[in-house]
Amino acid sequence: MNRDELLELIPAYALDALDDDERIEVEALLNKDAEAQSLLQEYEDIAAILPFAVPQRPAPAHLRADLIARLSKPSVSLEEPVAKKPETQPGIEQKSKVVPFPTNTLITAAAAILVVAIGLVAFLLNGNETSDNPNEILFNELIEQDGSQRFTISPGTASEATGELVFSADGSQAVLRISSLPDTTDEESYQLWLIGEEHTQSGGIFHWPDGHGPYYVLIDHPIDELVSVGMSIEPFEGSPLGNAPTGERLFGVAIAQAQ
Amino acid sequence: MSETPIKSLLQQIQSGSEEALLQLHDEFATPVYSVAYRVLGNSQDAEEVTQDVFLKLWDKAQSFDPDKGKFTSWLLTIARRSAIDRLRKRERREPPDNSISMDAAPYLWETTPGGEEISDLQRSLIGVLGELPDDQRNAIYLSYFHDMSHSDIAAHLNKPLGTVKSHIRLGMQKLRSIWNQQPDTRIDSERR
Repeated sequence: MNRDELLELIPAYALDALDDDERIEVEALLNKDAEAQSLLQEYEDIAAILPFAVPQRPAPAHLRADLIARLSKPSVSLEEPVAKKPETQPGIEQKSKVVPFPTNTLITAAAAILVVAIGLVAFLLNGNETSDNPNEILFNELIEQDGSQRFTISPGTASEATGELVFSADGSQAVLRISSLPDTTDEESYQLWLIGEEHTQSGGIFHWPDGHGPYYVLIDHPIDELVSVGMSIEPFEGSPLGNAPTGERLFGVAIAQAQ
Repeated sequence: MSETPIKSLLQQIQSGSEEALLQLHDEFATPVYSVAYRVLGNSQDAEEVTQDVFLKLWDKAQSFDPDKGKFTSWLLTIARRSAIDRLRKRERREPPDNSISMDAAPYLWETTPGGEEISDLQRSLIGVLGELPDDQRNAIYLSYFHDMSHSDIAAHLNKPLGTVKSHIRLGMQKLRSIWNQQPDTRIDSERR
């Protein structure tokens, strides 16, 4: 590659995005070219802002106590994996800590019967029972409707939430099915956000008993007015801002992309 | 938290003050955890990386050079690199489909970076980042937070390699044009 082509790769170099062969050539240029070095410095400064664009997730409270516990250990080695290792002390019999596992046949059989019974109850509760939840009924109808638009919510980015958002074929309404949300406290709520080009509005405030779900939420809003749909945890009566989330963002689905 | 108390805390950490480390933890655990989570996609790994970062800070507080940049940038760079190291150690996985949906529109979600640490210029750049075409922003995020090369991104997005290269180049050039329009184009005034 010529010099100009290599200079064009410097932004990607600042992001660690180059393939190996490209990186070798760019580094060779950087070793001898002051303009390339200056350009890299600029792009590295720009790349340094990217962590600030990450949605903020509150660090779990237990991390502080965990850090204190790690600091109090006799030696803290950075090379050690963070995963805890079982501590042993010389001269102490490990088997004294072992609780014999019950092997009594009757206990085993009783446990098996209990498991079967629980499974049977779960089946009866979640099996072919017909829902009387109108939003769930509509959700199932929209799933089957020709031309409906579906958006999957997968765990990983902001929370473990999973679900699906289904818009009717005419785009006039949708139902959100969501589960595996983080639990809230008695002073909190789940708030849905409908985000358009010009403004954001609340899609409802929900006080569910826990985050397990699934929960079905009707979105009576045309798809062509939406850019994104999301959910956050807010105070009990909703975001104090009214038209914007303030709490932990749980998920967001960009609608415009898939249209 | 401004740079002066941070410098003081770092000196105290070098002297063995756990309280000083905990003060920095209270201030920066969330942004560190957020970056780690963005890279790794799950809370367990992100927690462990966050722990690693602060233990590294405990052990190597003296390695921060205030002449080379601001503390937050330095710390979050360590967080990102630690997270990527961890990512490389486990089986490479595709980012969840909807992570792109969420992160393709970060401007839709209010971010709360460290108040005094982030300049108006940085805020402007974050705003411009949100306004980039989705393809450019996605390519930049995939390379920076998912440790993907040009070829990796092209394969993941099923796009030509040249297209991916253009997305990254054009996106970063646009950010640079904003960067160069400002009278003070450095994150911190101490850098030359």
